[in-house]
Amino acid sequence: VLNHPDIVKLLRKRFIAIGVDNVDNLNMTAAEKAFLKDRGLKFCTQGMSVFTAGGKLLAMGGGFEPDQVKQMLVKALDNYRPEEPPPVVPPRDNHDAGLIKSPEGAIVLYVSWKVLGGFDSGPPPLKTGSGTYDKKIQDAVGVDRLWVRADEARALAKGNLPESLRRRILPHLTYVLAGAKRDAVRSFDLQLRDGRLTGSFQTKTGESSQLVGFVEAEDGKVTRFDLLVRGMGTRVEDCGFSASLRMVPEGRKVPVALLINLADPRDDLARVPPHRAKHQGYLK
Amino acid sequence: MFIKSLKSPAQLLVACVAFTIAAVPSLRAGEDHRLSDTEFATLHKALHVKNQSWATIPWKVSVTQARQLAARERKPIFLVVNTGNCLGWT
Repeated sequence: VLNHPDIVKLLRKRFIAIGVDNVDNLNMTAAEKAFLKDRGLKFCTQGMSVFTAGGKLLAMGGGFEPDQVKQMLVKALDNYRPEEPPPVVPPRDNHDAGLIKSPEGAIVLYVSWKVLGGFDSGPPPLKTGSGTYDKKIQDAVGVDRLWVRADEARALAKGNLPESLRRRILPHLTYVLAGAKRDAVRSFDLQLRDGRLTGSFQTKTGESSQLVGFVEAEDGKVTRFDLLVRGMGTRVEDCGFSASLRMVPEGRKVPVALLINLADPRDDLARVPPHRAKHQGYLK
Repeated sequence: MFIKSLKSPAQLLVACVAFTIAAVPSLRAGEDHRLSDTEFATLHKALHVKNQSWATIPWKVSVTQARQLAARERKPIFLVVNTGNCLGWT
């Protein structure tokens, strides 16, 4: 629903948009949690709300239907009156224990994946609910992030691929190319030579994928990291976050691709913590 | 003509990404999965987070920052809450 052109247009121009996770990685200060308590934080699974900077609730609901969300946004705009005087919002306590911080000097990589096709042959693809959104989910791109420690970034800039980073990349490949099953992986190798990343990923069922990519650096800083792999993937059911992989029937193999690339640190989207950052030892 | 019928940059972006995705060559199990330079460029564009329509919205991830900006720009705040972050799985 957040890809619908009318909704994208409204959110870009008329609203300040924010996305939060209320279960796994809250990434909020105690004051922020208290502020959101009655403004949407308690939603179960998914929810949307609109409120003013001072906290006046304007609309609540949303859902998966674009018309329903659009109506909610329009209603909220009708009800909105800028607060006079504008509310003074206290600064964020950056030392609050509820915040998940990327390690000092780390760089962020986006991880994205997609099923490239294969839904139109063989057994029928899976359906969700009434089937209204099947095509949209089949086309959906899954997104995560990956943190690269400062020392690893320095090594990359010098033309070396740290083993710790190679290990941190592996779960993403396993997720997309091996049905998220660690024991389905036969081998994974990745090298960096003369700015080129090359490697291979093999599953125990015999599927082999080649990894290709580039690393560039300037003044000791990584300016480009692109790693791309195309191969065969299987179904991954993961509360919707596996995106198009959830539509693959059990046991069927479909073409998939996964990209890991450098995020712009100024971009707020790069500030969402990696899913796996909640696990102890993520950065080892 | 088709391009003229697109009413916003966001619609144009969605159309471009959809076209790019449609142009991605498909594969079958056991086929050679090595990528040509053209395929690399095509897939890179199709998968890049910033090329997704929802990612063209200037999302905030700090409630405080969103409130400060909303007060300054005199706009309401739209909040989407998920079990996991809708801005990408967390």
